[in-house]
Amino acid sequence: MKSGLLYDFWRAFHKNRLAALAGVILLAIFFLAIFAPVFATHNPTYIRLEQEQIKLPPTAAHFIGTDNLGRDIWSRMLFGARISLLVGFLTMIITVIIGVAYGAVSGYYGGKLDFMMMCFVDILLSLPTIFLVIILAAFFKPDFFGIAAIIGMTSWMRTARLVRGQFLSLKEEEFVMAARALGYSNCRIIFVHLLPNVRALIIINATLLIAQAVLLESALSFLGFGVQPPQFSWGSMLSSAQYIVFLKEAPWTAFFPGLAIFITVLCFNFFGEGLRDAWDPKLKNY
Amino acid sequence: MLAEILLELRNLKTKFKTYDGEVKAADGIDLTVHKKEILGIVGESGCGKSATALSIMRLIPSPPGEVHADKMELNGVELQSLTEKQLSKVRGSEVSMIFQEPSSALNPAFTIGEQLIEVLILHQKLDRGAAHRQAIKALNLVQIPAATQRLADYPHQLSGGMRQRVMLAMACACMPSLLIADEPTTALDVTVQAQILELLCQLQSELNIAIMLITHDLSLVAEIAQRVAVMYAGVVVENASVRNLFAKPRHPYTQGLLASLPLLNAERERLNVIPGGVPNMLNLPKGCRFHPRCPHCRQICRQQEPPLFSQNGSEVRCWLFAREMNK
Amino acid sequence: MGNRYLRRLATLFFSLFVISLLSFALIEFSPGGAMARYVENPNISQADRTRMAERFGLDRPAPLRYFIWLRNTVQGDLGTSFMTGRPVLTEILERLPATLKLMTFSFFISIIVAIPIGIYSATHRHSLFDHLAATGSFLGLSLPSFWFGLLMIYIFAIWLNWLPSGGMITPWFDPSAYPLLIRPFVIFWEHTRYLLMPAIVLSLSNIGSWSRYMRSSMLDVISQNYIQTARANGVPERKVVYKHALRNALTPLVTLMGLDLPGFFAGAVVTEQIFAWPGMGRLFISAAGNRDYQVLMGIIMITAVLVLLGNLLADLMYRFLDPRVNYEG
Repeated sequence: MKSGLLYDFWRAFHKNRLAALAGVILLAIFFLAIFAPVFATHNPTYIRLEQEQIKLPPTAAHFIGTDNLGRDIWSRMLFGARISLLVGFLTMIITVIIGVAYGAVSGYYGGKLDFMMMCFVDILLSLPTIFLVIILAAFFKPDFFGIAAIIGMTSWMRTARLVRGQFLSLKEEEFVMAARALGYSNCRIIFVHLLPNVRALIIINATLLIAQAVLLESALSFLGFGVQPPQFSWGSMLSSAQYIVFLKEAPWTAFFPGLAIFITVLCFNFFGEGLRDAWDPKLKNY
Repeated sequence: MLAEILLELRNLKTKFKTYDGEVKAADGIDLTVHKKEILGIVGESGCGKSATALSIMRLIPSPPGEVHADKMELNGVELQSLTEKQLSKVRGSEVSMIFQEPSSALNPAFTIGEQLIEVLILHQKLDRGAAHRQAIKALNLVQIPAATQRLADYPHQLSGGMRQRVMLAMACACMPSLLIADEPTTALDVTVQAQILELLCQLQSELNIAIMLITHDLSLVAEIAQRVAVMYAGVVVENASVRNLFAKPRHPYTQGLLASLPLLNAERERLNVIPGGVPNMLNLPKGCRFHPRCPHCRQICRQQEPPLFSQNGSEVRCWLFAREMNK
Repeated sequence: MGNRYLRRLATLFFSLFVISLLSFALIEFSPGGAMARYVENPNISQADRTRMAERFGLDRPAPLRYFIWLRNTVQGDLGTSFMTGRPVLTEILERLPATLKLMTFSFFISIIVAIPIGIYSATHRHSLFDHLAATGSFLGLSLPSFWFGLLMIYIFAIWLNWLPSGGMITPWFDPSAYPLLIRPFVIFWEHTRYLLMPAIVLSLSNIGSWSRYMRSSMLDVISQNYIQTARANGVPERKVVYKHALRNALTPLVTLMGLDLPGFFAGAVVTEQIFAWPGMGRLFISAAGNRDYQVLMGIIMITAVLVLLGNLLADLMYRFLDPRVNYEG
């Protein structure tokens, strides 16, 4: 079964060049982030306020210039990638755990419980979750793990819906009847018998969730509610560019971190779409 | 029968390009429909009946479809030469078509009246009031009770039989000379089937419409058709009047079909079935398409495809008749 | 019929109740409390903070405060802002029109762009345009809106100097300075030039997802039997696409638009911040920074009401577009 998924994966990505390219770029980004100290040319937090060191345009010494505190942007981007990606992955894991558990229980048990649980999901979905995220982030002043937890706790609803829908139809299958007849516990049926069937769907969803999480974290940090100094992510590097004067004088400080976010999110989206093509032709838009 | 020829189809080839190869849904179909006759087209599902019908309507999407015929003339007009604009004038007014699934064949977002009136305005250049009156007439023609009220109904408010009647009303509203009915009764209850068949006969005699009745059900054809064309794997294998076909089926495939019909007074204990299955359209057998399932298969059948042999208006595509009939 | 709408309305109020309870609890259990922002201020002593807390009624237990809040809210009183001392409702109503103006404009841009792209992609499947549209929609969905906004500001406001970088209207704008004949155009342009960039930024992700959705919905409909029927009856292809297919393809899109409303409000928060748009989103950000509980609660509730009403409207539209729903339900 595993080899089946891997085989489909290989076949589809062989054909879908764009998705394969996205995967390669993502690997390169991970590599740069992991070995950030190796590739960094300067200390990313070293502040130099001399007039000739701040807001430097791209030069040989500073690939893509320095920011308003004289810090090397290239080095900061490498280290910022760590936080951005880490938050993305952590958020995805939290979202998947909550969403899958919630959706599985709701779909498996069905009936009144399902109705009430989905009612709650609907209510949460009708609220712009960014409001809750901003409130929590503003009040708790969390570190990157806290940010991931906050975003994760407010974005699991769609995953729950997806999993619930699958479980609702899966539980009618004969192998579930058989498992019940054998007297397995519900917990075992859910996690051992049913969950592997939605594996592909969850992985696809998870890839797209990372993309969304990276976007949301960067927006949050941009607004100043995300990771707090001295920690920094790509999003918080753009934060100071909110001031027009600053944007005018040193546009590169805003341009490159934003480009990094854009490319990363784009690659996750393309990669997720490639996975979907490979594993779930039904979901494809023709 | 020496009636005038309405539709003449010579060597129709309809191909679909798929990822696995080229499917020849119709592979050299010859058909003639005379004015005011009911021609039954019989064959198993997947033998190219519907593809033939859609090719005549020129409704095969391209790509992936591709249609070519040596001749495809309706009332002396070559259909293949028409532009899209001319075609939409022919469709619905010269030749129209009804489909198998009445439940999904009507647009759910518009009322019966809106859909009927649209067709009438389109083809007969009527104003709204006249079209409205004409629509009521059309519904009366297909025996829908309380026609005026029905016009304001949405398709989902009608039963399957009623929807098929509406389909017929739309198809016949502009008095076409040919109506193609693609499995018009398959999705309906048996009692409703009979009513629709009766209605088809009545339309044919009252409006002088020729009907091409596509079905997999020979007994249906026996009831209302005058002539039958039997199709197998993309070709016509036998073409004869209903009387001749039932009295003396020539092609082994037709014989098989007839033998598999359940008969009320028969003493047979089991129904006969034709051994084997429909051939894979991607990989047709060499020679006669039917030879792997044929009880009379000979050497030549495996090597060379038989032409249509004809005699007294009957045609058959089988080597068994190479001597007694003309090529 | 009537019964169903009553039930919808009951659901709506229940949802509002749950949302209010949830937000209240969230704010309540957060660390610090309302007076936290004064802790570091040496000019305000502990006694002052206690006195202030008493004045705002913060010394009472949380459940009691919730019920007081609920009672007042039902009567149309959303409380008083800690920051300004003005009624929350007044504060919000001052900002709401700006947000609605931005959202409406952006909504129309999204529709006008996304629907034709979707239709054209569906009717010209696998064409160059279709591939470009697919790629474009991915780009749109992946663009960080704040970065895109900054890029636009840099290009159009700083570099080309065509459009203002932020704000909603020039403070000293005076239409009477222009001749009567061109005055309407001047007023229109004055509003549009401020709206253009924020509205485009806000539309971006919607255009991406709606055009894709429209395409697949359209493809779905075009393969239906009734489209074949229309063609077989001689309805010209243009009419088949724009009347028979479009009407049915729009139905699921309306639902999607309803579901996307919360995302629209969320997008507005970021967009308003970038373009200094004086709307509700900016108010929320400053309220969050200043722990202005009443304003936060107020904005959440007003947004929830708007979203739920929007969903109700989408539902009505759906029923209008697809007559089957009324029949089955």
